[in-house]
Amino acid sequence: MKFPLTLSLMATALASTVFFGESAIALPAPTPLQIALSDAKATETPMLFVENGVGGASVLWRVSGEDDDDDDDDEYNDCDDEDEYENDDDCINQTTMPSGPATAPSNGLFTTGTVPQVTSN
Amino acid sequence: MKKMSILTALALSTAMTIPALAQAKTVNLTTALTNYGGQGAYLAIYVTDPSGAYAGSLWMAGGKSKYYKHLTDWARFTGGNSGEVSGITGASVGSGRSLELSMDLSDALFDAGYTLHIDASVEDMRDSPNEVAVPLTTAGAGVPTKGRRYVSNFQYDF
Repeated sequence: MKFPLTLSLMATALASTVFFGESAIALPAPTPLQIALSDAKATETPMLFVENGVGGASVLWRVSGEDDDDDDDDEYNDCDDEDEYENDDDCINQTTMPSGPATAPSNGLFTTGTVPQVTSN
Repeated sequence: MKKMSILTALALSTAMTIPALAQAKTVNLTTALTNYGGQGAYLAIYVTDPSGAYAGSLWMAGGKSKYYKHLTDWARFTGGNSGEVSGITGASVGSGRSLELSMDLSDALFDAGYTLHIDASVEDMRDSPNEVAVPLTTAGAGVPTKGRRYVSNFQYDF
């Protein structure tokens, strides 16, 4: 009675080997890494498509134009301390220009209610 | 009696207002810079009284208050307080460019011993306190004054 059990185990092992062996042969060959950068519209956020054939699925990353690493090496920051005396004063509104209505200080030099005007610069 | 009071009050207010209007004049300030070849110049334009004490600021050319310390005389008078130029601040002035301002000033500033000063400062170049110092007089209107370093010509006109 032991013989049929042994035979059954052997048959099962053989069948498994054949099945998985065929499955391995049937898998598609790995596709080469494909990268496409969508730049059809310059105003859109660039998108990076990466297809590596893993499980037949594609992986998509959105590439942000911003520096997300929270460091301080943003070379596009024009408001740092290195460009002092810039004539364009791009960053005036960030830190320096007083907000609110433009009225001259009450220092007694100006006629009350008038504000100096730049006529040319 | 009540009508009389109103008329009296009206007359008094009118009498006080008209001289006040007459005591102001529109003054044009023109500051021309030399071609010093650097970045935009910061200029502090301010007035001292007959005793040489700070009387007030007329204009600040340059918007970043952290650089006001380079306008050394103005900063000494004011402690670098940007509130002194609140509402009277504009852009810095480029090399070889001119700044023209128009303002209504009190007549009391003229022929009374007041002096207009300009401090100047340019990045990576020498600070120039008291670049210009001109007495405010009626006779001095339209008379050009040369600055020490960055100002090629300054004058005020009525």
